[in-house]
Amino acid sequence: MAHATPGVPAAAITILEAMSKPVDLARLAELLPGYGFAFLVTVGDDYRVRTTAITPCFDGTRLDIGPVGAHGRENLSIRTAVTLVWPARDVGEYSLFVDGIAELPADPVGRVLVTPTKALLHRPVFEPGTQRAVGTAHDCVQLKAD
Amino acid sequence: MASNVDFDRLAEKLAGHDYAYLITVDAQNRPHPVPVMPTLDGDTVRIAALGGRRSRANLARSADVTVMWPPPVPGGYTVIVDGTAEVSDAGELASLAIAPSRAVLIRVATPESPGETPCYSDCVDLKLT
Repeated sequence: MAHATPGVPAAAITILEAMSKPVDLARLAELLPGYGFAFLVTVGDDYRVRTTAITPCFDGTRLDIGPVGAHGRENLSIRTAVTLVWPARDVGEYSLFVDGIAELPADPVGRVLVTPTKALLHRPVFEPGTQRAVGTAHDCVQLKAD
Repeated sequence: MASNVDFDRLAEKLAGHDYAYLITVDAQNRPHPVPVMPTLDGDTVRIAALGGRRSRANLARSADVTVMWPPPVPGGYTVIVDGTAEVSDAGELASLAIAPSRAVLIRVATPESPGETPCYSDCVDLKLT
């Protein structure tokens, strides 16, 4: 439900709710224990990717990814859109991808919190009887609340 | 540009890693990872049949990519290669030839890791000099 907030157009509230609504957070919470660590992927102003290995904790709403290093902080101070990748344990299993918005604390050793905006399970499709992935097809499941 | 990547050590470190994620960047500067099965061929990382429409659209804008091989065993190192990609053609069977500019190994910092490292995670740069 969009609530009237002084100074904020109702359409903007609807858009914000639409962005945060689609992720099935309960399903995400069920799936996360099946994965080990994750990668935090941030992007700089130069369009270059920075990756670091992390062990996120999920409280049912936000992912606590712990303190982030200097390069990650630099990227997050410019762009808060991040992607988290939980690698599959085996090539034939699902990887878990979560896009989210990061909140960067002022304290450099403070914990960074990420609010999921999109969550996907993704695995390659193999040519029958081979380990050769079919580049043109993927098995992709979006974790949507509705 | 001559690469400073130690390809012999990279080949050694990639043994046992069978799949990876190709990360491209979209027009809004957001990362886009997809699972891929790359091979290291001398000083080139090759990816066959890159079917993803979004990855191909991102590559048309920027050839800078990251390839990330997760560890085959828990607690192992992840291999990360940054490089410039050349796309064979624009179709669904497009293949990539990536010239690595940097290769690093990273893993999640543990209580045994040497404290507050500059890169936070436990990391090793695979460079020649």
